Amino acid sequence: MKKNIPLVTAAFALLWIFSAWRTPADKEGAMAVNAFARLPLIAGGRVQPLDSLARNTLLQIREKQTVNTAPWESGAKILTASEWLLEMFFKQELADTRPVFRILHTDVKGLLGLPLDADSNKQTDGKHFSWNQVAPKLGEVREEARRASAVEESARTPYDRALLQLWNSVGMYMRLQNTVQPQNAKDWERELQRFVEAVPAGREAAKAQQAGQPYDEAVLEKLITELQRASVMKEINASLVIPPPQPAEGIAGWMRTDETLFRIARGEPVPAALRAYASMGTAFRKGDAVAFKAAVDLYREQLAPYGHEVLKKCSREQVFNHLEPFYKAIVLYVLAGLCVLIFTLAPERLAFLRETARWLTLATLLVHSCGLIYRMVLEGRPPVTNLYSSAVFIGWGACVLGLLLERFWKNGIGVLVSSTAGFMTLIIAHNLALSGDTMEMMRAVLDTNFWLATHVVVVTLGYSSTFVAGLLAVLYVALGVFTRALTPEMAKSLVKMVYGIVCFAALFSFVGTVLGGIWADQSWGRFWGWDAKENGALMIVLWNALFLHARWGGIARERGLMSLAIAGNIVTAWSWFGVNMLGIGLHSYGFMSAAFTWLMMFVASQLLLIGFAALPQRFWRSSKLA
Amino acid sequence: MSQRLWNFLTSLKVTVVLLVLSTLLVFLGTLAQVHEGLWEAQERWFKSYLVFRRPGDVWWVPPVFTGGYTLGFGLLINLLAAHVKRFKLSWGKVGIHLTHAGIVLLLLGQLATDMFSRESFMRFDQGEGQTLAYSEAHREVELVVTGEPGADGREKVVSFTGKALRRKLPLQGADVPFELRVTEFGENCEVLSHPSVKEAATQLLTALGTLETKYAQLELLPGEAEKALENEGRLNVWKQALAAVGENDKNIVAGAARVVADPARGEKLREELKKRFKSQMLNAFQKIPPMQMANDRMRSMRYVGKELSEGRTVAVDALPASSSMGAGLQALVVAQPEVRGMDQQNTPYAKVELLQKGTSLGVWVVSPWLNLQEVSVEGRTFKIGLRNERYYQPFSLKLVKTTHEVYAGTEIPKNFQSRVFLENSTSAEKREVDISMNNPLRYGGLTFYQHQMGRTEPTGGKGTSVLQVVRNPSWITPYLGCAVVSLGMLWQFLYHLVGFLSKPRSPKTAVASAPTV
Repeated sequence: MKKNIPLVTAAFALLWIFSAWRTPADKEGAMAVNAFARLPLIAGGRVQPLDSLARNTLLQIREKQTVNTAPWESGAKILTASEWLLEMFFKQELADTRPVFRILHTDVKGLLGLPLDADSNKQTDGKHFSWNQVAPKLGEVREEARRASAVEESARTPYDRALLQLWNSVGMYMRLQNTVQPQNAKDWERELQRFVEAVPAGREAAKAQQAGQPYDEAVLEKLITELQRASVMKEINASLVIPPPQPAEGIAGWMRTDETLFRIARGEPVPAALRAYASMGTAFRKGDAVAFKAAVDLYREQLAPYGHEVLKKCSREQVFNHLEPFYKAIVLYVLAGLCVLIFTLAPERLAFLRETARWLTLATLLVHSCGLIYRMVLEGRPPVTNLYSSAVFIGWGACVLGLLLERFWKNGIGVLVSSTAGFMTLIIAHNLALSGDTMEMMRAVLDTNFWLATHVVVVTLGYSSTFVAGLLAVLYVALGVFTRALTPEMAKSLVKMVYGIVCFAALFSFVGTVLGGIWADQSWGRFWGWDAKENGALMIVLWNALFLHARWGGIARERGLMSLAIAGNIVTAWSWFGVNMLGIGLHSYGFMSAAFTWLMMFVASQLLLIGFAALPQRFWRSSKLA
Repeated sequence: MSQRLWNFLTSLKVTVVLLVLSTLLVFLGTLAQVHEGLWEAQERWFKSYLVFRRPGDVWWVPPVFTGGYTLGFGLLINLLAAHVKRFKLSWGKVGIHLTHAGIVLLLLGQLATDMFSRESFMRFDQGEGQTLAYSEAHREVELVVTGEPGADGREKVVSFTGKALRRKLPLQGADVPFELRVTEFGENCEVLSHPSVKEAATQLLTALGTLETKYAQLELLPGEAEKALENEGRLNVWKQALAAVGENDKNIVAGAARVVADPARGEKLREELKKRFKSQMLNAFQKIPPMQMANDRMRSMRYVGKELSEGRTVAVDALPASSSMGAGLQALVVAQPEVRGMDQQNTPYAKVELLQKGTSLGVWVVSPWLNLQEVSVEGRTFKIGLRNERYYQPFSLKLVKTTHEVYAGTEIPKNFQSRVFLENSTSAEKREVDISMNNPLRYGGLTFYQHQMGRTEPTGGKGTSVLQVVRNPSWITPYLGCAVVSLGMLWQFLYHLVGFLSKPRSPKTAVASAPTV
């Protein structure tokens, strides 16, 4: 029985995850939400399904991919992102009551006159608020946001940042409100028809007016009023949902809804997409699932000339969103980590737990890899394209290294490293995803798959391996100081592991840094420019070289080397995150103040561990000389 | 003694110390970029032997620290010495030797780059169709004297480097019948034309005068309050002023009437209003949108606003000349503090006295802000001016077409590309070539990179382009160095990996002997 536990656990884990690997279907007779969410649009310069737009918007304004309709009571209805998007598009009066704005800062709540604490009588959880609660004070928010955005990023107070965050959320919300119809439309299908009918007479009147001939003022006035709504939409700059009249125009030809309205006013035909969304809206508001599905299906057919690829990509991306491989991998890494921790309590009796943890980690690595590859295929890019994907990839690399260590030493350490590194990096990735689309387009200077595949991948593996060495050293100190588990043999094997991994890290970080130099020479005309990110990578190389020379020269012994490896964590974290917080240089991704606090805490924790490592032997619970 | 020195030079401890210092230096040098700018920090921390703390530095700058050159040379000497001492040829050492040889190459290559490379820019700021046969330095300026075109149709140019200007050396060019003497040199300045300053000052002074009359008497206040209702900005000022005298009525007209009824409070309100509207006006004058920095009028407004708000006066009808001759007669040259940020640039100026056989011809003020100025001496016409140092090439580039693409519906740049026509009369080469991000043109020992691109109004909608031009004769060394190091490391890694994998191991030992917690 015990023999089968590892394999069975791993199989269950895989089953749990891969059972979600299918195109989400709609229930018979219910609204075709999933079919709707698969429809394409262009946002952030790339083709994506409505589903992604909905999820990314929610992640940014609510920090979740779903909407709790009444967070002040338990068991309230949870809307999926796509269901919420449907309301945002077509039932705005209902959507405006959904508590989707996550506001935590007391002063911001004060500015908006919102309840500070949870109170089920007032129907609030004190954290999430609806558009209807925010909108009355929009003028004040705008004024404050204008002031805060003029403040230099590093000088902004937490209140300023919270306020700008809210202002950003308001902007995103308004963009959704104005994506497929004007925000104040009541019955868009009819209003659209009225507008289309008003165009010919209105155009005649406008021409007559320009020619100085008599014209029907009322008719012209009507057209102008209609177009004013389109002008308001134009200001808001929503995503592109209307495909070009000629499929050959490609991605660059897609339009916003307001642009189409202006084109119609110039006498161009009404695009099918505009009517399609209008009739979806009517059907949805009436609760007519059959008509809604028919409208969605019809629109999909009309999209056929725009290429199978667009629709297929959207379907694939929806499957990926639905699968959430990285999110679920976090859970599995935790499970594996727990198994191996329990194993260390009684290594001989609980040997099967180490096996279970190993198999579970292998299964999770498979999920992690599938997610990584799926993303690469979707984007048509190498694995690392931005900070988010670097976190995913660092975790992947560390997990592979940990399992390799486990293969040679078979003492649970490798599995512990894999699961811890996988868990932590995916948590970091999860938080990075809150700042927007993780598959954003690459700026011109970074738009080269060759260098992304070589320099970025290699240097990221360098980060991975330096972190693994650091993590092993952390285990050494933690086990040694706080437990009796660190035997001389284990200490010796840990030192060997760290040394091996540092060799590996030195190779990768050096080659990666140098490839970066060559890229810089190709793009900017200098091999080395002392740019902040370059310097960060160089510091890792120097640190690894330092470790190796200290060992070869016998300058640092066991604990000294371990301290150096822990310090390597600080150096790597600085290079990975710290330099982005400087807000300078060619590589910077902007100031990330929340992450800065975490980085400082991480640095402090590593320094503390180095302090523990320096404690005299008698304070260590493990007596290695025994 | 010499034995001890030799032991020291070849010591691994010294290597480790140098590596620690290097890591720290790179860290501090990176941090320093925030305050000092990339260029300054690079010169101060990396291209130096010692870094000293200066007044005004941030708290973490140590009193003294080793600079990049010291550590670079230190590592180089240590490395070479250690190899001389310990060199042994064996399969196991090949990787180590290769790695270190590559590092020596890299260090030397970087040194050579520092010494011999030169970065400059080719600015096609006139848009498509412009031809250039030179590039310009980013920072360095030169004082030029151009004569009339000679027999070959090309005008002769005599130039003096910025270094000579800063040292205020007497300058004498071949075939120039006068001597130049720098009387003043400033690293950064702003040049404002007299008419613009006059216009801005008149505008501001008039507005301030109107303000005085508007709020001259208490009786006028309720009427002004009524008018303020039409304008949100004015309404806010009124609300604040009323609040300052303790009146919080949302209806400002009613509030004003109430306050005015009490003359003492009314006077206070009058002062508050004048003070607030005045500071609003002064502030409005000093705000320039970043895009308008090059606009003389906008800069003049800022200057006037600043002078008045700091309590100085602007002599509208008698603006001082900044030189006795030339463009300076009609312009203010205002010295500015040196700037260091990433995107900021200094524009120097110089006051130059021209001397003919010891007699002064007058003082001219020159700056890249100003065009070249004509000078007539002995019936011959020359032009003098200060401009970014130029490097001429034996070939020319003509900007044919610019391509500037962004991703649909966004501002994210997708592609910047310049198509240029290359013409080299010596080699009779004539061809068109594309330069884009990640695709530079290498020609004539120079490399041309796509640096910036714009489509601005002054050029009538024509696309402009800036190419970065790099001359780096030692560009190949890092490539070679990297190849050698990588080879060495790979060798070493594989050598050990093979050894590790072929060694028998008893995996159970570690587990079996692990006691319970």
